[in-house]
Amino acid sequence: MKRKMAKLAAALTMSAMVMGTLTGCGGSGPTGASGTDSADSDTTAESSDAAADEAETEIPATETPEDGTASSAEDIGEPNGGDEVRVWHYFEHEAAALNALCKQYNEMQSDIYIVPTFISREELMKQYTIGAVSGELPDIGMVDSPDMASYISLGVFENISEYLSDWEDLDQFYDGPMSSCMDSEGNLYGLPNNSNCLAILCNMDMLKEAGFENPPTTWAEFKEVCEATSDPDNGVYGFAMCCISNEEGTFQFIPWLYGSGATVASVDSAEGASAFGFLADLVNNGWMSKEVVNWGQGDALNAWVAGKAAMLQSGTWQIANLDGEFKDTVTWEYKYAEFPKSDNGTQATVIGGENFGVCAGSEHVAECVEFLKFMQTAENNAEWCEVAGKLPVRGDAVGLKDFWTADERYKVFNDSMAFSVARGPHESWPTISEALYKAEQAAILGEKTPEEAAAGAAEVINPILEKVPLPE
Amino acid sequence: MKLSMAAKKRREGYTFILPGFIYMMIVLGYPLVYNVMLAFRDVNVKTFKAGTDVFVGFGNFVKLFQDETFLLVFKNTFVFTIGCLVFQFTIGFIFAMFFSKKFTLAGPIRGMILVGYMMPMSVTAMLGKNIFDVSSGLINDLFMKIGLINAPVEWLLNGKTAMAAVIAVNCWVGIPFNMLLLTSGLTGISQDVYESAEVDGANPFQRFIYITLPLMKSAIASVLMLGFIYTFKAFDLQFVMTSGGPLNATDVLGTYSYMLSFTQYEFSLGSATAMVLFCCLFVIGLFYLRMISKEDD
Amino acid sequence: MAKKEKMLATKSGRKNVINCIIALIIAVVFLFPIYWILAMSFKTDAESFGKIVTYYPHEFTIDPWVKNLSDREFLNSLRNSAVIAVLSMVLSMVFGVPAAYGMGRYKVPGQKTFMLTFLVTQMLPASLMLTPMYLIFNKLHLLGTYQGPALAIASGTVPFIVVTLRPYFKSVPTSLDDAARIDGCGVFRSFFKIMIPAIKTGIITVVVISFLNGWNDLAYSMTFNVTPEMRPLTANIYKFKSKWGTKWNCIMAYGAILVLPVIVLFVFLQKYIVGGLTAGAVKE
Repeated sequence: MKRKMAKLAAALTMSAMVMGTLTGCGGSGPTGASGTDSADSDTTAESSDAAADEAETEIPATETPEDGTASSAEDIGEPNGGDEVRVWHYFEHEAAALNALCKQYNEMQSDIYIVPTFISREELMKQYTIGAVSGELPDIGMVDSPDMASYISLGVFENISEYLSDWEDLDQFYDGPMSSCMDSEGNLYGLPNNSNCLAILCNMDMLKEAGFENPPTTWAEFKEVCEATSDPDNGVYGFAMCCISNEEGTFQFIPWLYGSGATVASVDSAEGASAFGFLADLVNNGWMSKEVVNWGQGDALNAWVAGKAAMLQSGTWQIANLDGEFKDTVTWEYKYAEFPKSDNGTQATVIGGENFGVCAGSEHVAECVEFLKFMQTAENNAEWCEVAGKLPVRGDAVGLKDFWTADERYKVFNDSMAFSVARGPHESWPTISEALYKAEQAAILGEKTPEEAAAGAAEVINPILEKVPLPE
Repeated sequence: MKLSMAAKKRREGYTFILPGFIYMMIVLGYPLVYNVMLAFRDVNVKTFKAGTDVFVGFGNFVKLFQDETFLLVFKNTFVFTIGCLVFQFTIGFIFAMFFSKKFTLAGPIRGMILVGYMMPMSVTAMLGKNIFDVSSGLINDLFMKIGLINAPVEWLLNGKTAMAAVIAVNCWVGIPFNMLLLTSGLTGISQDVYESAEVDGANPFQRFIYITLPLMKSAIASVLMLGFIYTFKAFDLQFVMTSGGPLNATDVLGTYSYMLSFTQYEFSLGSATAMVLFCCLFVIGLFYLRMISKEDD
Repeated sequence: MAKKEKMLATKSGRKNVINCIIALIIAVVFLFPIYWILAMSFKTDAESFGKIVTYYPHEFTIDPWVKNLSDREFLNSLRNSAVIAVLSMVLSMVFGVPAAYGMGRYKVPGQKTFMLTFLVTQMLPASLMLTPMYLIFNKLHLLGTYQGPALAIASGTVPFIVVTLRPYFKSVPTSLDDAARIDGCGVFRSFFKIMIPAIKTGIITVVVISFLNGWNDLAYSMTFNVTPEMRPLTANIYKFKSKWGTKWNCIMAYGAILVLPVIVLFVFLQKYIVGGLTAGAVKE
């Protein structure tokens, strides 16, 4: 007990120290968008001034939590005498809200003491896979919904069906998010926590200056806006997105793939190739930086916030960033818009979200399930989504708040859910995903023609789907 | 029982040698054997956990050599190694000859430029990433200032230029090292041979061709083989500087093996890749060992 | 020889100057990257981020250093680096030095095999060992510890020590340990009291290089220690790269701190290091 206290005290002082030091150097600034230095010395001098200004005023200090840092007693309540239950998550700006929820739970019961620990997404995924081998897992783990199926098949999560069988609230959960918590036999391994999807975030000042009063609604218009707003010589592009070589890249590619009329199963169709071709065109025409292949979604947002991109492929959760850390930086008028329709009239976006599951080997499965149920009550889910900028996962939560329809920005996402596509669930999703982002990168970098890229992806994906098809 | 003097000596000898030898057998030998076993089975996270892995013979190798990416990586490893060897050996040789001249700063500077070799490769690689950056990199800025290029080059976003950049950074480390090794070969040549050649009217080029090269033959061979061995197994540089990208264009067998084992958790494929790497080194290593054991006799 | 050198130098004073100038240019080119790391690490955020590339810090600041050095996670990695380096060095010395002595001063059956083993293992790539060691260490619960990487690193350093020190031990005149024997020194006492001091230079060389081997390691620590809090600086470069984003000044300060011990050791112990490099790489 004494040791625990000492540990907590240490963690506290350390996090205080870290907070202090991070404010100056913390956030990842707008990733150096590639651009040409103008030969004209006057303009270069100007742009360096601009860069200097950016660095001083525009780069906000995001307080990225430390990997592996457990929340302090101050945030989650004093130990309540119950056994410690470790929760691993990769919520960054939502961490405070999560802590508050844990505090509430720690104070209302004394069976278990919930201690959330932040671990960055990539690191967390690694930990689960390694944990599957070595058995070192937390009690409760958060996971990106399309990855859950593969972790279930690895045995990372515990089958909790029996603990939930008599919970009548279960019917209230939407089928899509719920199915991502199940194995092929319908056993439950966790509960969905939130949903989100993608839309197009427009810098309306830039669009208007280029002569567009409204965001584009078709792929053709989209290209027009890109052309008119791009200024590659000054590192300004019409569009920014994330094409990084991990799940985030696939996540951002899916709307274009399905928007073209293709699906993951028909990636090598003419439509599929047109999706690759569309994005490759953006880069080839100088409307999108080639560096997107190194950008995560956060980097792309940084580029947009720095005024380096007129439009951004943006997720629901980023509204919270715009209202929070970037509140003073974004001085221009902006607007969220649904994804444009492709030439054949198809429109699509992608559904994302996180699940929480109880990990295999936990000594407190029943208690953990109780906590998950508490997290996902209608009230808590609605509350959570408002604070964290998410969409709820259960029908009866929607009615409890009105910001989904009242806030113009959320409304776009809410409406987009109607044509949003889920990834998987499929136990080989990581392999499918890798084939997709690699093909996308190959097309963007010009290593392959769109057709070759599409065919290359299909070569990997089709045999997998022949064995186990994707759910309808 | 009284041991003979020779037996006692032998026992003493073993007492000193065996701990180190046994350490190597346990920490290195066993994993090495285990690696061979892995390469012929189908161990991944799932089968490892469940203990259901089976013997697959050469299955993993067949799989690898049918895989486009692996073949690319295989080729990359040779391109990288040979690219590095050509530059670092040639320039290293020139430097070695230059610094073997007697002038005031020869010694100090020859020692100084070796510092790059001692730096952690991960820092060198990070530096490489910085100086080859498109917009804020030193290389583009410098090349534009001296008029070598008109527009910034997307060094690390382009397969071929990325490989060139990686080779360049490796040469920064490799040149001083090659120089050092060749210097010790050069100092072995007696100055008298040169002086008598000079008297005979041989010009510097002739002296190089007819004296230096033949006398340096074994030193050159060993430097080239060692260079091959050290460059072929590169890992840190690519891992940090490009992560093997863009699109595996700078991936080498070392990084690819790591990727298979520790991002895809296909342990057997990773081991098989490492085995391919090992076999290539083994061939060169045999030559090297034969050469030095000849010298030993 | 020294006389001749002097003669040559005076004979061609101009040649000497020209050669020195060329040598200086070479030094500038090869030391520039180190200057660049330092220069970047003293730039302000704006300057390191700016589109104009500056060749020296126009506005000098020690902020990036302060930010790194006051970061708990950084200090933690720094400690890990030190612990792993020292641990692997000690392990290597304990197993390597006696073996080098045995190989150098005794003739035992199987010596050729031993020597071959040490020569071959010295060249084995880390990437070959990663997968099997990872799975073995997993079973032995050595993942996420200091011992894991230290054991693995030492397996590369032990043969290096043997190959490097063997000639040193060989060169010690036999009369020296015979004298020790007569004085009544046991084998081990004479090893510690007579032999080790007799090859002091060689010992310094292998201590320094063993330490640097551990300090510079990336592959083993990164693979075996998956949690960032157990990783040394080299393996956490990735984490800090994403943490500092494009703030190259902070990243370079990170690199500078990582390079600093290397440079300090190099400046003070250059001749040992350089000697060791040659001995280790080319045979005797």
